[in-house]
Amino acid sequence: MKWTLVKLLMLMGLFMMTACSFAPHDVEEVSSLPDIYPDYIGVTVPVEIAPLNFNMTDDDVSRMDVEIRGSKGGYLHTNGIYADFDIDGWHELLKTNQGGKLTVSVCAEKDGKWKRYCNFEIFVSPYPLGEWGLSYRRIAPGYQMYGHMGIYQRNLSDFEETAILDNKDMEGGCVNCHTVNRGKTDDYVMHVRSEHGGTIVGHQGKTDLLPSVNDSIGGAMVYPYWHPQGRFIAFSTNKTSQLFHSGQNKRIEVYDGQSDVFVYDTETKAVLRDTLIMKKYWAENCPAFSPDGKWLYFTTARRQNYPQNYDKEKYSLCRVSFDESSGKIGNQVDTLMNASDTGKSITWPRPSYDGRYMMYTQLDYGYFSVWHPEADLWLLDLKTGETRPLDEVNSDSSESLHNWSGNSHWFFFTSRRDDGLYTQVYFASIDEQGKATKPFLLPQQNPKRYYHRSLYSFNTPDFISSSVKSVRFISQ
Amino acid sequence: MTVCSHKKMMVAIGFVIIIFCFWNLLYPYAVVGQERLFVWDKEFWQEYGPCQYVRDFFAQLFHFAWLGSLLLALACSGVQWLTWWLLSRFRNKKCESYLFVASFIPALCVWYFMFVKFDVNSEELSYDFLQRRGQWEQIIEKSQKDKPQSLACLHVVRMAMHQTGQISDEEMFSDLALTNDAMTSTTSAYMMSDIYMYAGLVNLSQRASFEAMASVEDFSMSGRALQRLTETALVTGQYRVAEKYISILEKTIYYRDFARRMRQMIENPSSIDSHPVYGSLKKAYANTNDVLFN
Repeated sequence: MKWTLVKLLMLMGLFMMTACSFAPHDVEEVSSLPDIYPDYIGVTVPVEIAPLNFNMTDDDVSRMDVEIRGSKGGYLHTNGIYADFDIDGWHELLKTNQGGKLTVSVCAEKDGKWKRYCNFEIFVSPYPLGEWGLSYRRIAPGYQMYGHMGIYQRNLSDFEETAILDNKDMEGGCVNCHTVNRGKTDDYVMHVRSEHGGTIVGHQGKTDLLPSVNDSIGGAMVYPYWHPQGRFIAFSTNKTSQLFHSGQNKRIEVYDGQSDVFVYDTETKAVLRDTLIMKKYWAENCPAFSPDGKWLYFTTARRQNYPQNYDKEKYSLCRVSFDESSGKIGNQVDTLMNASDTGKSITWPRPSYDGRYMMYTQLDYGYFSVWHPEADLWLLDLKTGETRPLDEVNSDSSESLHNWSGNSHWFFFTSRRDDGLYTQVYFASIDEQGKATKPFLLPQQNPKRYYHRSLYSFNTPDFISSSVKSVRFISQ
Repeated sequence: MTVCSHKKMMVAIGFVIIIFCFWNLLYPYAVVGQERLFVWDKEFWQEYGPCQYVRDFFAQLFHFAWLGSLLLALACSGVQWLTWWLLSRFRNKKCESYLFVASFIPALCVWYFMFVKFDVNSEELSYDFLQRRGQWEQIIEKSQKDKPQSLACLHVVRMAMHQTGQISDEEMFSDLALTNDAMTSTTSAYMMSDIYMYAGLVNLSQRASFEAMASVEDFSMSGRALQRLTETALVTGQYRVAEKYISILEKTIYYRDFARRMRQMIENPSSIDSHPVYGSLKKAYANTNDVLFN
């Protein structure tokens, strides 16, 4: 009994000594903001988002002590080698402070000396995200041969990532473009490129495997976009080629020798073709339906001689009316953004689901924006016709794929700003005046370790409103 | 009894020596072709799982042909001794000699299956092995005996002839644009990466290394590809990407020293300019006319 008590007291003493040594002491006040990774200083987050854990960029920092206070109440504290917040505590704090702000105080220990940096703020948006998570493909760089990849889903309220389809389970095929209908996971399209692959279309609980090469269009079904009612899917079909630069600052050109847009009817399994979106000397691409389903947006460029004139291929943004009862398109194409006026090329048009905006990527030429450092996001106001670069979120690196949350208050986009090569996902919100907030990187449990260690890029992400059951691909 | 036991021991040791010599002297290229990168961190375990973690731990040792050969010999020996231990449970003195001979059968099967698995793509593996060691005369000699089928091997032969002054710069660097046709396997991608680096085409060397990295069997990682990716990132000024690779290589046995040297260069970029290889590649990269390769 006596020994047990002694042991207990010794244990308590040890715990207290350890706790004391971990707590900041003899703290030096510093008049600068902490240099943290990811840069979460001044970002705006939705109430549902996973904890914004962060590290000090300085690898020699051995310990951090971080306190967060909410403007509407609440407090959170963490002490460790990086700022690792309790998930439940974080959500409670964000819930209390929705529409308010969090003040973050960072102390960091380096070489046994503690420094306290200037506080910074994280704003909690009044607008919820309204999505369960994000689906994406994770893929390592490879151009001709490919290795491990998969389509995964990530719960945006915590750090859980699960595989929807991993190519380890299908002997190494290529999986691509998991596309759902406005976040609804019951309607999805996915491509599997392997010997027995094809395009998988899931609709109203039924799954169809369409052949890799569609005979009626003479090519593969490539970039899809669902009609809001779920019956039709607009696809592009692309004969894509790659060229590799030997010179400075450029790596690769991805271009289409030929491309067209068509509509697939999930009920009749018919391909609906129209010469207006399949012009002989034009390359139509990147289709997207308007949220009311009455318009089909797409990009188009005059086909060039390749490879000589690869940098002359500039896409305009167009639209054509769409009759959702018959699946037929109208007989007149409107040009919303003309490449000959801007001298630039437009790709990945994505209308906001409230019908107010069209977000697109603008680049010098071509459409494969991920390899274009100059590629930026632009926002077209569909009410006024005014367009502008989204300078609030753009960087010197490529900004590329993007899409809106169901409530159109949030959007994600991919960017290579982190290291210039590996593509990551960022989020930002947009207010009533169309001004975007400072974007934040997809949170991870230990972000520095995750992003600095990962050799994968995030590709074709999209919001999903619920989790997806994993897909077991059985080749036929 | 002791003599008999010693005999068995001698035969078993002889068996190990034979296997070791077989791999190390006859098929060293097949051995080093099995090397995989093993990274001492949690992420490696999480990504590959316990089986591949253990396998790649041993596979990293194939970095050296002699060490890989020794491991293969010991593995076969282990199978033989296990078989013998199981067979000796019968305690049948009359058949002991036969049982001892029989104990080699599973080990011989393992040896055979290893050979079949490792010697796939032997042409490319053997040319790559010679090329990495700069054995230019042997490459030319080998190609004269039997003309290589692989386009990447033909490029290696041309590099050997250029190294030995038998062909001009023009002859060496013509036809290098047929990248897609030359890169059909991991080994061919390794070779093309080396050839492009030799030709001063750093972008293309980087591309070839990405192809090699992506195509490693079982989705394993390649130290050689990561090493080249670090070099090309350094030459092309992609320091943040180079740091990513360096931080991985620093957690390995065989590439740690290289990674440390590269980190020092990133911390002091002027040292890249004065480096005999990277400095000249950097100059070449800055002055290269942009040509498009397929």
